[in-house]
Amino acid sequence: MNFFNHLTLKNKIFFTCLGFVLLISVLIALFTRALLISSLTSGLKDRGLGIAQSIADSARVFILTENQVELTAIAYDARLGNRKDFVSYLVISDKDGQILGHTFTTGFFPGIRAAIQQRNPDTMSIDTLDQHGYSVFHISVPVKEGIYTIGAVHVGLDKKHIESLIAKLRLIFLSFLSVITIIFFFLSHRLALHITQPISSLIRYTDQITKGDFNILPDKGSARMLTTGASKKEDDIARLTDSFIKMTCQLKESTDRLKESQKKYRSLFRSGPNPIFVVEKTAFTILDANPNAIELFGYEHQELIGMKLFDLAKREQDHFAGDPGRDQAMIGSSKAAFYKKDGTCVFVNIHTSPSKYRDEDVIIVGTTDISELVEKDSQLIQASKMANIEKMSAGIAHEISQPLNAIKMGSEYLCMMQEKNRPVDKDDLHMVLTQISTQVTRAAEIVGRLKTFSRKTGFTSEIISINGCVHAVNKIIGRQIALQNISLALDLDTCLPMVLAHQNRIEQVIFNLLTNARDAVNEKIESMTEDQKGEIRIHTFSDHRNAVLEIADNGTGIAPDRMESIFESFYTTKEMGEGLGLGLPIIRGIVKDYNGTISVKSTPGKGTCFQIIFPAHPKGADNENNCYR
Amino acid sequence: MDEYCALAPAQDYTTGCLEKQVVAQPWSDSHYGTHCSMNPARYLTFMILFCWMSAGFSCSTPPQSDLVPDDTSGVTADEIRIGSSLALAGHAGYLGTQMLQGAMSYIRHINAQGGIHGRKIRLTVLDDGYDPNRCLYNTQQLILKEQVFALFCYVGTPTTVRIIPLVNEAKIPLVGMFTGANRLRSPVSPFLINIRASYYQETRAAVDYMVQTKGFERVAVFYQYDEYGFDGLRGTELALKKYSLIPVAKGSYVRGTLDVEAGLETIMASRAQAVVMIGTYDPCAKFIILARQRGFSPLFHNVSFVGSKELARRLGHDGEGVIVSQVVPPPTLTPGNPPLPGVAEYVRLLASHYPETRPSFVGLEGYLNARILCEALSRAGRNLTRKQFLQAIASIDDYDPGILNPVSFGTREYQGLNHVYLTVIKDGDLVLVK
Repeated sequence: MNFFNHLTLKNKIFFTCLGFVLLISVLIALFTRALLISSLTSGLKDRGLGIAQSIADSARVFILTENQVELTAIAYDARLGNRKDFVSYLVISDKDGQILGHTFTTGFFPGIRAAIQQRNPDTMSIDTLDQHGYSVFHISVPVKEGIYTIGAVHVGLDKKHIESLIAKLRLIFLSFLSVITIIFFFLSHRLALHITQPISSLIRYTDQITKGDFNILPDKGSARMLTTGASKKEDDIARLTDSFIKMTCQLKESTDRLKESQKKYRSLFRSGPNPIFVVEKTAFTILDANPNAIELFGYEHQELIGMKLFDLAKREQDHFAGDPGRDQAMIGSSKAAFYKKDGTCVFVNIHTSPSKYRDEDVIIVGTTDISELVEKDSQLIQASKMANIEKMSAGIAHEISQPLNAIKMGSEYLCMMQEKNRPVDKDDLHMVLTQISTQVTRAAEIVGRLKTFSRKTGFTSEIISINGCVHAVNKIIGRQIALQNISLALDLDTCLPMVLAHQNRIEQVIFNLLTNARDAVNEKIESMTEDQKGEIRIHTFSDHRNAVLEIADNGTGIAPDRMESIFESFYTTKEMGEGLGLGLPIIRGIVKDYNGTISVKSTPGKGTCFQIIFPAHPKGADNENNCYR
Repeated sequence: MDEYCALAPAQDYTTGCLEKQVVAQPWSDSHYGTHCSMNPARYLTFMILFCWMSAGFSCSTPPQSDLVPDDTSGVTADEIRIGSSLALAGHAGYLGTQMLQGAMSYIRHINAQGGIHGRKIRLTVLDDGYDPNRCLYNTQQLILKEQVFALFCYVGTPTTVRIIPLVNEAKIPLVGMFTGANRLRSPVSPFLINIRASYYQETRAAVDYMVQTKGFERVAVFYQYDEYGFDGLRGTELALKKYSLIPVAKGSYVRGTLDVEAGLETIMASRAQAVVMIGTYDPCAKFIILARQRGFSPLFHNVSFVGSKELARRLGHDGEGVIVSQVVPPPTLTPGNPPLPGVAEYVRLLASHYPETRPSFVGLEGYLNARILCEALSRAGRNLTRKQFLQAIASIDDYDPGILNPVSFGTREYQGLNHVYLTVIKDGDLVLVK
């Protein structure tokens, strides 16, 4: 059965047909053997019996006269013609078993005399005689005169002759069966071929299609070729072929469409204005990059492939806050700093999108070169900072002139004491010198701060403490605010988490907000003659792993209808020439750069409160832990 | 005639070894070689199945044995027994007697010289009275009981034809039959050794003579209503057909009777110019005498079997002009011509062994038969078997028995002589037609 299962369909049909025919043939042959042969044998025996009886009739008178000549002639006559082969011998005996006439020419059949004498002459009998390899049916028929037996006729039918007749019959029959079988052999062969030929051609075409060769069906015309003849008959094979052709056409169309879109995307990938990377999902290994990426980063294509994406950014993986689970495109990181092969920094926005590339889960990383934008931002920020410093210059000059005055007073005192040749008290000298030194340090510190503050900075980030920024700004303008009769209250949370930002920029933010608050308070004091003390309050605290900075004042506040406009560029409430209206937009831009948010609450006439929230940096947790300890 | 029977005392022989012999199996039904031929490589599986089926059903084939048995029965150290069944009495008794005396005179001569290869020939003769059934019974007895080596000198067509099956079954040679029946020549049996020319040849010579020489066109046939007569009739018809003629009348009589009147009337009514007669001397003589009595005198032609001397004797002067075709030359020594050596020897031997018998055509034929038999036995050698005997017969080629008519046996054609002599009765004697 296992062998059968391994056969082709054609051979299965073929062998089944053949087996069936053979089985039928064998059954017919067995039937013949059983029925025809036995009836043939009995028919031949009957014929022998008939011969014996007719001989008995004609021999009667000669038996009575014991005429051996005539009896011999009668006996030989019984073997005339074709009977010779069939009748082996014929013996005529008298009632005592004495042989009167016989057909033995060359010798008696062995044992024939004994067989004749032993037999009861009164009855008819058919026996089998087997002697020395010769085998006959011995038929005895009594010859009667009246009711008494006067002799007997014995006929020997040659078994071999009967067997040869049977053999002939078998041969004819077998030849007939063989012819039938051969005919069926060819018929079943043709049938199997007829059925399986379209199937095997289908298999061939399917194999071709699997290899991607769709050229077997260039058009509908040749598709019809497959079904020539069969389509007219509309049998199962034809329907199968039809469906196959339809399927192949569909497959061809969709494959063509797929190829077209592949081509389209390929060209998009190649000619797109932005550098695009195909990155492995888990290890972020670059699998492919488009020519723009190569151009931008200056690496060769071969060099790029196999590099990690973070090697370009010189950053850790956790900077990419990508969520691979989502299907839609998203911004992985904005204003990320990447480095060219020659080390030049490039700022890019990163868009990621999960996809499939050569059966792998990948992330398509699209980048946009925003270096120019970042540069412009920096310049703008710088400009706004300078504007602030300009505004503060009088105060800062005063700030610096104060220690200078103190130094001058001390040094004048010492000069005067020397001119008068009066000894300087040792304690006084020490105090003056200490004061001079202190004042110089103070002035230098202010200058240093100013210098740091006014320095144009790049777009980088580091782990910083917001409290530190507040202290730095306070050092620059805290005294000025206090001189303007505004109390500046610092309520800083020592357990504030560290954030990822840039010190100078955050300082600029605080500086800006602080000057805004001072202006608002001053405006209120000017417009209202009330002797009310101005107050600015800086408050930092942590909230849900966020660092929050609040700067509140009790100034004029912002009218509700203006609330929406305050973050718009070039919007200002100040008089022409006093402000550019870029302060708050820049602040918001900086805050946003460091993933922070800025919000404002204000009650007109009562005050305004700006709240800035930065996400805590995980590494800043150390600070947090120390704090609780 | 009892003398001849006494020559062969059948009681001498035991039958102890008779039952050793068994019935031969001549049937053959080989059925090999009937399979269809097929492309073997491709249809191997099928062939295997087919062979299996064939093997399953067509068990075994009985072996075929057509070979002449190397039988030496009838051959002893100093004797070769030969059997003969012929008419020694009855209406054809003259033929058998003459034949036997002709043969015996030569055999006695040979035996007197010491036989052949130290063996004497003993002829066992049984009388069948020209009765086929008796001939059959006799032959059975000769083969089965007497166990003769060969059969010899059978007389008559119906008798000899009757025993053909026995001869073929027993595979025993039968040498020299006094009949020209076609049935003994076709189909060819290797065991039937004909010496004389056939009736076809005789009737053809007769018809040629009638039509060509005499210019007759009206030829009638008078024949014995049995195998012999039919054979002559067929021969005559075939010969006439060559000239686009048919017999104008056919008359017949029953073997052993003299009822020739009906046939005579039919033939007389046809006003035939010639009558070809295929019968024995008694009815033929009666036919001719009756015809002449009634004033009907066409050319009468008899074939050799008629027994020409006896016919001439019976016809008396009515026999004048009656033609008899012969297969041997006239056995008379004509004073003018130098005698044929064979004829001379026959006449000499016959005179010495049977002084009271006059030489005859039939006797000369018997003598020739005996010469051929002895020649073949001599050629077969001391280690005599039937197979060797038959080979010796076949080897006889261009052998002259002394009648200026050489004897040749091909392997196919078992007939030694082909010449036909036309003789005419003249003054009660038979002379060659000039």
